[in-house]
Amino acid sequence: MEAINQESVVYPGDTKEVPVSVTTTDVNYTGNWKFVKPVLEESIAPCKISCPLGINISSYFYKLSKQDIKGALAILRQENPLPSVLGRVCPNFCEKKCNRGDFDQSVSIGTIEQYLGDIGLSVPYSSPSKWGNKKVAVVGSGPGGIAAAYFLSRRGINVTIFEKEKSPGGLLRYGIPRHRLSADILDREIENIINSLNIELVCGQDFESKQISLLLKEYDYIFCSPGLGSSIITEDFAGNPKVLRGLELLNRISKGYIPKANYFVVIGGGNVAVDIARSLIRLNKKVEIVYRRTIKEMPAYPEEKKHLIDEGISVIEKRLISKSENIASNLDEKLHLIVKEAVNIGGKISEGMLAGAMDVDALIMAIGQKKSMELPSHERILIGGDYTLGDSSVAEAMASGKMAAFNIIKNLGINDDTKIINPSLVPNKTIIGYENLRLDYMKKSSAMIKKEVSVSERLKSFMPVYEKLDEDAIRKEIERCFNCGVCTGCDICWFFCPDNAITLKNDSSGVKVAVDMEHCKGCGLCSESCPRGIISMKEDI
Amino acid sequence: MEETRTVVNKQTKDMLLGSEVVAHAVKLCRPHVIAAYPITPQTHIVETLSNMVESGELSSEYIKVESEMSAIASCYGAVAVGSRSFTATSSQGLAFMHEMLHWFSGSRFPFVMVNANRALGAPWSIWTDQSDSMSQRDTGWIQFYCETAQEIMDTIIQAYWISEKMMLPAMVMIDGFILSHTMEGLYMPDQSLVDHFLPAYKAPYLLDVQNPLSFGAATTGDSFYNFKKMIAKTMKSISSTLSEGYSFFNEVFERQYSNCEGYRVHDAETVLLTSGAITGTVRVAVDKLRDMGMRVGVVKLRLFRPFPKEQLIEVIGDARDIIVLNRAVSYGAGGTLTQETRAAFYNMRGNVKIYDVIISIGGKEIYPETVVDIVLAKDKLSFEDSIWL
Amino acid sequence: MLWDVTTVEHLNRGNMACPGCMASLSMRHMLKVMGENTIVVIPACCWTIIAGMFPTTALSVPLLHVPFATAAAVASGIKRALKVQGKRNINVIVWAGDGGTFDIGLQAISGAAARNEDFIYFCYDNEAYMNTGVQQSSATPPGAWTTTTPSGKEIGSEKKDIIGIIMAHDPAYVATASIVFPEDFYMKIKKSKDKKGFRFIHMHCACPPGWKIDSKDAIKVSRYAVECGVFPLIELGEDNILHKTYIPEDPISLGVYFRSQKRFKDLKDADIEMLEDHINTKNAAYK
Repeated sequence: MEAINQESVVYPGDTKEVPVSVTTTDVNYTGNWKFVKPVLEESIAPCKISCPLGINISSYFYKLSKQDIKGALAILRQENPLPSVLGRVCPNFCEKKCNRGDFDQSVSIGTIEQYLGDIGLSVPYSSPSKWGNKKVAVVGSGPGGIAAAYFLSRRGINVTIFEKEKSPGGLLRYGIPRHRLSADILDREIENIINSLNIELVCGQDFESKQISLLLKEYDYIFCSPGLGSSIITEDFAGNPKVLRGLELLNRISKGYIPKANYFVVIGGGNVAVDIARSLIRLNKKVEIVYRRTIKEMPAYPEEKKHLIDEGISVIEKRLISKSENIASNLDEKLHLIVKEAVNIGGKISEGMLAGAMDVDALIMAIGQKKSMELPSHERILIGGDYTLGDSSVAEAMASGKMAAFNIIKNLGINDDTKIINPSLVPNKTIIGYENLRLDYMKKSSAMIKKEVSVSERLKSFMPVYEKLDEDAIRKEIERCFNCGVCTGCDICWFFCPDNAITLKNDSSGVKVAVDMEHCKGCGLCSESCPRGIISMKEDI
Repeated sequence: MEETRTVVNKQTKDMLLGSEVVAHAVKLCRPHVIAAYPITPQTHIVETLSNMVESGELSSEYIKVESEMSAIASCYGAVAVGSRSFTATSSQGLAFMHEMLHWFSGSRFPFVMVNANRALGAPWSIWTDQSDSMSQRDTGWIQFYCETAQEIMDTIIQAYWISEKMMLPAMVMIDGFILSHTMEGLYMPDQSLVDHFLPAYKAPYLLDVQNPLSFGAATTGDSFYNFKKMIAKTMKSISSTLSEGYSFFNEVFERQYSNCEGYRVHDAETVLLTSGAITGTVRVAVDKLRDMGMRVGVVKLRLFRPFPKEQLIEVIGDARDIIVLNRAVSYGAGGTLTQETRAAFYNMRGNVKIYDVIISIGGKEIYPETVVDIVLAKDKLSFEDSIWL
Repeated sequence: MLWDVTTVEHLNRGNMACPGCMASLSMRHMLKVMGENTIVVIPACCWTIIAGMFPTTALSVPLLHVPFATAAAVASGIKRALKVQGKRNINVIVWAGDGGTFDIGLQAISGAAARNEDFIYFCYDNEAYMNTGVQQSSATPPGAWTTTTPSGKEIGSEKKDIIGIIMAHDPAYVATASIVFPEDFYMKIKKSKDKKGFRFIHMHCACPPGWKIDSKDAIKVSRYAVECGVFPLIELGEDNILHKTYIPEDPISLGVYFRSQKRFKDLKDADIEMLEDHINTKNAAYK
């Protein structure tokens, strides 16, 4: 490229005789000077990578910051069928990877997901156009099944869900207690999907393994996510009528059952143990948890553990219930439990010295789950959820249903133009780490904390633990998202270009500036000032 | 010319110090901005102007700057936005302004500055010679030298006229003390006459937010050469344009001027060449020599830059000897005026001897007898060297 | 947009500034505040060349190039002439480097300030005679490499306190500013624009070649300068006292600032400690 655009140089009139300049310096192609050039490319935030569903979090937060609820909801629903549910029960893998966490505190992404999901409860999906006459049967209407049904029907495939219980939801309804996820929210979210996507739901239909194979005659594919279904009981306690399975008890309590016993001890440190304990105190029972390690090491979600302690449930740490001394057969006789120290040698727990005894009405085991059936194997039968993953989170179960749906879609030969869940399959995109951000112009602030109903008040029933979300706090929290990898039109790059070589564009999405390569000198200030790491300097050949 | 009337065509006869005449002339030319820095012997100029501003007689902005460099710089700024301006200085001050003198002419802006001729130190001297202004002859300014109070008044008006017509700055010289601090009679023109001759300055290019331009950007060889060629071209046409100007001036003010004025030169064999107030002394010498029967005359140079070559040669006529009376020297070469005169005559007219006499430096007194003696001794004078007394 | 600034531009593309020039960035934003009714006077400095060679110009406002020592005097004359012409709403500004302000131009500034001439004098301080190839000026900080202080400027010879010098003239307004603190920068220029009389703004402008930094680090280094106290952001208040307009929440050490630029490579840690005391004393004088 020439150094100067000679044709545009102007010598005004007879002032060629006088040292007067009117031509702008635009005629100088200072773009020739650069040996590196800015490349502006939106990229992927770590929250999306950490999310099992690959939700484009930084993008929908951007839409929310522009008050584009419709746009935000569309992005969220692209990957997540149950945002109201997940906003309440997900352990928020995203918040652990949120770049803001390295700055002050992670954004309360789950809270905003709940907020947006709740708005979506009254927004039906537009009916997708049918793609041929393909039919898929989904066995199990838990998170895995719902997710599979959702993604398949959005692609225009006819879906029938078979659910063994009377209502859909799986563990969402029959495992997670109402104080964590209200029936109203769950019903409305599932109904919205079922109704507006024309999914056929058949409840009260329990299948045995060979019956599932028969479905192959009528359906092109079958997706099964029946869950694990049953809590493990160790040999020592098997057969004892006063020893209950945690998961089954949760199921019965969700249907309105109130146990007659009064004093319960729960063995286990996971979410089932915590859920059952917190459910029982709401039924005015006395409950204690015995756990072989420390509270800190309990695998239950930190939020749940905090509520557990707040609600006054005591956890007896580093203890094992070794056996019961008598087998009580009638209700009035207590169960006498021998308590031993739990000795931790190199991570392996073994029984230590005698540590006392407990006389309880019932012992609840919540130490893990196992399969309650064996599914048939066939190339047109796909399986997901806890059945394949083991005891995992709702989001991960949904992700397996989503993956299965996409596999079915691919196998059916439908052109799938949606974004793939696993971002690592997207070529050449950087994941924006904290070191890619430039945060000098961001102000520090604390994350939003959801307001809790007081303990005394909430233990009166299974009412939600959290109060209605504060709109003002929501708005502020949305602004706290850095929108890593998403161009928000903050125009900081435009501001800091010393050569005025960046133009502003008015687009509603994508990169909202353009660099004039004929005049950009490659100084790199734009890349150093972009808060979101969208601009990088590459060699200019 | 001799006048018995006290009022000639709306002009009042008065008697003033040379410096006061400058102030009145400037007032009549209506500058927007005046910058003032005092230096002997120009001080009465700025003081008189100050009184005029205080009394409301003069409505210019009067900037009491902190140095001569700033004086001319602030005037430059004023001219750049299209306002007529003025300042005055002398010797050391003029030297301090040197950078700006080049800048002014290079920018092709019009301006008038009065310089009270004074010797340049070291050592200190407050007395008159022409070394200060003549050593600035390369700066691209028009240069006028005044002999009388009337000339001061008229030349300043003419200087604005020619400067704004040709877009080059002009300097008007008055002899320090001899003109600045002596009183003489003159006719003071009425404002209406001056307005008629010299209308308001209309800038062909200026700093204007409606039409933004940039002045003076760095310029490479070809364009720079061209700009300077334009200045040379302009300089060449100044002499003839001034002649038109003098005719117009005569119509309005009834006084006829020219770039060189001869006295008793029509049959002279020997001509003395001089400029400034000492011309009076030299005329006395010429009369004495004529009484002795010698054919002698004197030519006074009013315009020094551009050097009025053709007009000078014409006025000098057939004289064979030209004795140049210098009051400025280019050390290592000779009297400044002599260099200019010899260059003018080169290849123009043969058979002429041009003598280089350094008549006065630093205010050394000049007596008519001295001039007479020089002329009488001319045949014995060395031709190759400068003749120092 | 994060900061609410006009999208109107008065800086043309293709100027001759080095990549990453903070003086170019500062001019761009100064003109956004001052607007199109502005006449800019530029003495000899980097901007003489940045403005483009004849017949081009980098600005869309009138620009007058003037000799080195004369900027403040020329601006005085311009403003006075405009007053006579009745054009009272035109801003006249000087845009000069540290050489033309702290050194050779100081006399004219002193005169203009003493006369309370009505224009704004902007000094963009890149801390040396950069245009002529990085020679030291009286704005060069101790310890800095320049071609005339090759082993670092002598530790005892402090940067001239130009704000103090201007304060001695009882100005209408005086402030320090740095474009990497945009809100502060805009606030001060807006304030200047609305005042009358002699106003002086001293801007810190990083120079990648002269400070021996990567062009992309110019913003970062400029921020360090303010955050560590080397270049405090101050202004003259209505009470005629100099006030700080920014107090760093997490101040950083001088060492971080000095070690970020190769021009300070010969500066020893003991020197830095001494400079720290000096800077703290100086900054304590501002309220």
